[in-house]
Amino acid sequence: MAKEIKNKIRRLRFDADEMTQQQLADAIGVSRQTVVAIEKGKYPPSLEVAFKIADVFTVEIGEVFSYS
Amino acid sequence: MKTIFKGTMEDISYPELSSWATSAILTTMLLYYINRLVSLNNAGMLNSETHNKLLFLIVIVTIVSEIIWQIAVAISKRFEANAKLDERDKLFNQQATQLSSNFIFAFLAILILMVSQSDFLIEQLALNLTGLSPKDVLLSVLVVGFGMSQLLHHCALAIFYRKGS
Repeated sequence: MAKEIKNKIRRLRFDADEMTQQQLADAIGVSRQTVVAIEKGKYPPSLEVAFKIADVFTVEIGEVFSYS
Repeated sequence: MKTIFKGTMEDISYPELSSWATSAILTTMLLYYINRLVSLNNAGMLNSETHNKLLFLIVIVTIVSEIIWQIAVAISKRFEANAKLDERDKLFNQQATQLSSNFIFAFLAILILMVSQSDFLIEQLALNLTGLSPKDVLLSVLVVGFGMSQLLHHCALAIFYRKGS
């Protein structure tokens, strides 16, 4: 079975007081639609954006993204 | 097709909506141009003058409708219209540009090869458009080619936004 990048952004947003997609988008400097695409797994973000997302939730990048 | 159009209007970004609008305009204008060209030819009214008039009309109508559509899209997405492009927009734009550039290079290469071979080939290109000179035919083929490359660019962009690249 082919491996793919998965993410836990939806869960992390929920844990962070139901942070909205727009709030996350503003924090990492992308559009809300890009956050939607990343969350749905339609767009794999750059390393920089991936680190920024982890930084927003103050977790390690491996806790946001996994490759399985 | 169902998966392409899944999602709400809010999930469609300004650049994506703009690409759909431009694709629709280009498709309409290209089809109208080809249809008008054939009907003028069938009616025996196709000559350099009518062809140039048609081309002028097509260019003007395309530019005006593009401006009107872009204003409409910018109004409907007014909070996003001035936002900077993010990495996803830039990546998709780059990929779509690569596709359309490849298309136009291949198109021009084939056209140059055909035109340089003999006059016979340019007559073949004319597709029985008897009223036109080889120069007009070449102009017409170039307009259709460039129109198609732009259409390919915007359609690819729109599909990348929907499905991911």
